[in-house]
Amino acid sequence: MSANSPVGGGAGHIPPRSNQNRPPPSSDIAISVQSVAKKFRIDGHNNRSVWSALTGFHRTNSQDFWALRDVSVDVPRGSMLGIIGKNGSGKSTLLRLMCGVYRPTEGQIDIHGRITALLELGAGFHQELSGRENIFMNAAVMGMPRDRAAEAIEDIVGLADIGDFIDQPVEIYSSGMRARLGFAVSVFLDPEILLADEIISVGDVGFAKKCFEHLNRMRREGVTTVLVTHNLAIMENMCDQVAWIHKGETQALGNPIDVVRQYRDFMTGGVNPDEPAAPTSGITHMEATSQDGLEMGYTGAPLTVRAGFDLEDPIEEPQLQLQVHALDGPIFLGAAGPNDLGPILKGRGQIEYHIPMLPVGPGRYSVEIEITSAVSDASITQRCPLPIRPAQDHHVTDFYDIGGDWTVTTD
Amino acid sequence: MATESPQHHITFTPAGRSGSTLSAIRELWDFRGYIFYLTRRDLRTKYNRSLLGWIWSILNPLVTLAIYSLVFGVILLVDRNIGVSPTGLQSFPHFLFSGLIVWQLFNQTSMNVMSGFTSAIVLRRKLYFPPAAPAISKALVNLVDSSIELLVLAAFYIIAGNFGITFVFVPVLMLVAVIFGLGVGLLLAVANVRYRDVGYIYTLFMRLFFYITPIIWPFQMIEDRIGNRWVKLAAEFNPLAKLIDVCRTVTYSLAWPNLFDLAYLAGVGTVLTVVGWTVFNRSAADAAEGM
Repeated sequence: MSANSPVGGGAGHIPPRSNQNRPPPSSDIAISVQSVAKKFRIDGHNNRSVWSALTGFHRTNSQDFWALRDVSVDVPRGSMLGIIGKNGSGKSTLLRLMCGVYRPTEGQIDIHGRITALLELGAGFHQELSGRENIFMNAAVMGMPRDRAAEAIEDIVGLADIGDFIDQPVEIYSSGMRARLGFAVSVFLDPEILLADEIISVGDVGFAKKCFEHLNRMRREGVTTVLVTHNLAIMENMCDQVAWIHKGETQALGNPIDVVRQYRDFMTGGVNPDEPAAPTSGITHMEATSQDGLEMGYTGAPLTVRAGFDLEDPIEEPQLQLQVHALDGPIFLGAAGPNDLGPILKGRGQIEYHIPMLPVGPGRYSVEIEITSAVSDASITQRCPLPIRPAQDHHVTDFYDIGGDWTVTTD
Repeated sequence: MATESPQHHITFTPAGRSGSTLSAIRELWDFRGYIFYLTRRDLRTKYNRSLLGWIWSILNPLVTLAIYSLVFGVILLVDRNIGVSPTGLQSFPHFLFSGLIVWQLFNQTSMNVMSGFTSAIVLRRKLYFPPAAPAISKALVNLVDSSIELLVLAAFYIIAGNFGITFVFVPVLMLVAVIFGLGVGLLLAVANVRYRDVGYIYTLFMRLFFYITPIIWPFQMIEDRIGNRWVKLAAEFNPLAKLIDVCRTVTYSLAWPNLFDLAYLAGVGTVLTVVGWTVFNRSAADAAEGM
């Protein structure tokens, strides 16, 4: 699995950020993790006592557990690193090492910048204090100055959207309310480095959307972000590089699209519903790449789709079609192939399709190539994933601007 | 490069944060707001769900004093050689109160610093803060709490007509008691996380220490009753014995404290704090995670 893992920074394709109000970086690397290992000791029994220390008895029962081994990753300033992995793989441990809650057993971590860590929303809330009092307390431990917290308090209360509960003790809150309040405080922090663990997965859909918007805003403002989440779409669409941690080791690190695909392959036992295994005949290979050679597209930017075929049975009067599907959705766009392909298509060959300006907004899509025969039932299709991200020079980030003429009149 | 905030650069290594004492102290200062809120939280929620609330802060010392006075002053008739104050006061409760107030403050601070660190550990795995922050906040809680006791003490003496300018030293002595407690608490806090036995042994030891320290008996008894030279020296230089003796000097006897005694207390306070801090700082971060 690891043999084909590309290892290396994703620095080549980081879209520039607006970086307003930020000092020029003194170092290009915000977080540098160098050969870090973390060992935990698991005790066989819970009752620690001086007796067991003196007799050394507990040593026979305890064992060392390496949660991380030889992990190295550099996070360039202003970029976003995603960490994926199965539960218990060590990804949260890595995040905790970065924010100093755990210390490395081996190796070294360098942090350049002010950190805000969201390991658990609402951690540190005191049960007997009111929501309002907890806001101040939480703000203090996150490093927000008191006057700034006082300034932002009404906005925080509004964003948390918990109504009159704000003056009630937190112990009567639901877990969702607690998470919303914890998140609301974090929105008003002004971090240079944001470390977040699974914050999207708590709460309802509306809350997840707020979290997502917040992350997007942080990204635009040039905040260096490290994100642990099971949400692979966020990994593909937002991260500049992704690290896949498996059993405490870096299984893959680099381009989000590649790493997420490897991870998805692994999790589905090599069978990817999005991407069937390449057959030995038919369309044997397919990729959709942007100008920078990555297997993805940018809104409004050129896209090239290449497919290799190996046809044992010839296809008479072949016709080509290319379709872009919204993920698991209907056909979104398509391109009909030329009619002059000749009477027969057989053997090996390549198909290349190029579009100078991809008129699709950001999101997860798949692209499908279909070879059909005009005179028989023969049909060959192949599909590959096509994540599309906002291009750096496209003036809107949420959709592709289809242009058109506007007229506004008032009576 | 011009920035409005200082350049933050941290290195995490197996030995801990880069730099040592100085950067750890600077970090504590950065988290002063958090320490403040922790302290305020404890003070505000201390008497939650109690009818009498803050009255307990007055009742507690008074009832303790009454019990000890009854047991040691009336039933056991402890040595009455407690001396007569310049104003003619010869009262065992007053004598006892002056000793008890600093003793309790030291004892409670050291215990609370230990338990404060232990109970903050779960949170420390979800939220970064300097490990010493909850311990220091506990010491501050005890300091604020004791100010009420200080007023009770003052009132107790004023009623007896035994009050003077020398009382200005009492807050200083109480601060010293808190510093002693903080030092000892920090020294044992990490060990207590690993082995709770430390806390239990400490509790028992303090019970013994209560009786071998001149709290319910006068300092002078060391001189009068102890034959062995070394034991006598040890008893006299027991920092808590000194602290209590000085507290009695300025309250009961209304006399100015001996400069040598003050210097000795300051020295012990400094050593305890430095040693406690060093031991704590070396392993507190590891203790916080290694459970």
